[in-house]
Amino acid sequence: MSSDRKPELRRSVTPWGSFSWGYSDVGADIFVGLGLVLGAAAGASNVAFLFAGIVYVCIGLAYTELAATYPVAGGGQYFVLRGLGDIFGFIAGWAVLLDFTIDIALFSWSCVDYLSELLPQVGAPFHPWSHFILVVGLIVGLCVLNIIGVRESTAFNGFVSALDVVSETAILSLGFLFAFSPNLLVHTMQTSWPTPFEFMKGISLAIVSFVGLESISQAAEETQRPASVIPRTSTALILTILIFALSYANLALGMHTWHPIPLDAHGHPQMLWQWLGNNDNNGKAVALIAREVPYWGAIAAFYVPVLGAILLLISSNSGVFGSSRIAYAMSSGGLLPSIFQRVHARYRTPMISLVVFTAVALIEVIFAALPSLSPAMATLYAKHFNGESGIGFLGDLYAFGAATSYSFVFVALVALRLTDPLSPRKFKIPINIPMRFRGESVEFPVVAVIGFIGMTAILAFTLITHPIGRIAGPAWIIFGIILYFIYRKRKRLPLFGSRKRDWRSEQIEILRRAGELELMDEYVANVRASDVRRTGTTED
Amino acid sequence: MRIIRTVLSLGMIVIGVIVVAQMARYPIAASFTGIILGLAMIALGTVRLRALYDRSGRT
Repeated sequence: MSSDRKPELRRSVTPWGSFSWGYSDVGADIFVGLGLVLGAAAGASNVAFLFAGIVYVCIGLAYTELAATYPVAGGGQYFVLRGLGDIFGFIAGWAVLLDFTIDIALFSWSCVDYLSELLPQVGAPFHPWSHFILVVGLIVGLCVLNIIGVRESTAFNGFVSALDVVSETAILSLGFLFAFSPNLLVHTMQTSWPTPFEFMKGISLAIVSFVGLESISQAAEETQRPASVIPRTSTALILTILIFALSYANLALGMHTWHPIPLDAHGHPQMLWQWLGNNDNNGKAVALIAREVPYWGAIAAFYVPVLGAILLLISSNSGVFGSSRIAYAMSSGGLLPSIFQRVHARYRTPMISLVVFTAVALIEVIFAALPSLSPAMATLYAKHFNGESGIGFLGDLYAFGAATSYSFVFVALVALRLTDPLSPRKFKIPINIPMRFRGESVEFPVVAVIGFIGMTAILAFTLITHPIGRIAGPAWIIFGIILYFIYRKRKRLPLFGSRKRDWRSEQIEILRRAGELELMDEYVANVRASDVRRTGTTED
Repeated sequence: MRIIRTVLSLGMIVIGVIVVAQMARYPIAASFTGIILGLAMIALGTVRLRALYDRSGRT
């Protein structure tokens, strides 16, 4: 055994740990997404969630197949690199990095919004400076904790996730039992149906509720027997998140509230969804809806804001941790300069990556907070960006990054099905067309094509309806591509082509490290049989 | 523990069936989201049941 073997992550995550890892990341999204979508899509919010949810199920299944086949932590960036080559792998990874930085900013922002339910002194509408300072403090604090190597434990994630699943189930069950009226839902949908523009905006924001699937592949790297465990846990995760999102949207549109809803800013009566979706409340919509559930709401009013804040903080932390890990993986793959692999001498953590991407998140928070901090900036934003600020501003960019990277993952799935049919796939997306490609039997994934069309539509909706997303999102990608070209030229690596890699040896090593020895043997047998078919000789 | 999980999974399937049956009575947009919600519940209950009783891939 050589002593210079790369250090490996310990595979100690159990099936429940794998589920809760994903849930603490993706499960937090509904706490942010609900208010944003209600504010944009009004009476069609449930349909917006449904559209985004169907696309999300497709991308979730794609991630599940890819993470079970290639259980490495690089996630979308790795799949795209392997399927489509270096430059597309870079673009997908760079878009994921944008998402992770937004993840840090958006969830810290929303965490403070939820806390403001119990501590009005930090509420953004009336105390913008204290809100801003607390958000910045949380982000800097998370960065410092990650630099010194403190991470939330899997047990803690599991506890919070279990508590949240029970809590959300109670809120939704009691809400549907005691306060939901299907007739009110139908009435709201008929009388408050949005314009096509608002509907498109709602759909593009609904995808915010389903972002974070990178955690599936990150969990795959540390799960025992990932090819067996990941499909089960991530299918349950995908369905749980979908059920919660659709349930909340339907409940918000068809619920009779326990207390009278406050009048709007002009003194007019408003409906529940309007109250939840306005700029003052859209960052804490789940806490407010929980408060309005008969009986249970009396208790939920106290603990849901705290539970939401903890879950959002964990999600924000996963952005800090994930961005450094993705940057590390991209740097190892020759897509980013090696500076992003440099680790702190004492703490052995990727300090430079952590500081750089936390700094990007802080810049995003400043841009999001400017209108609330300065009336002059509020006028400027109203003139050029439809007045979008706060979590609306961050949600714009989040939707762009997610839609871009997910679109590439669908294409990578199709490419890998065609170019790497020999890797054993313990889980396959359903509905496939058997065909032959370059002399091998392959299965063409129809669901990936459907998902790609849906995700491209969401990307188009984002570009059409978000004035900030359509400028800052592509600007981020172009800036990254320029950096990539400069770096590749300096290192004399191909600009548009890919470095030569021995994927076969790498796949054997991946399966060996994962403990999937049966799959490793199956892969080696497939490779040998393929070589025999092609050349008539065996390769040892 | 296994019995509790089985009951919860079966409960999820039953609630899913009720949601589908109830929401199918309403106009198309509302019923469609409700039906998909119910179907997702049925699928989740089925996935959990399979995970409980299919031991072929267990670690």
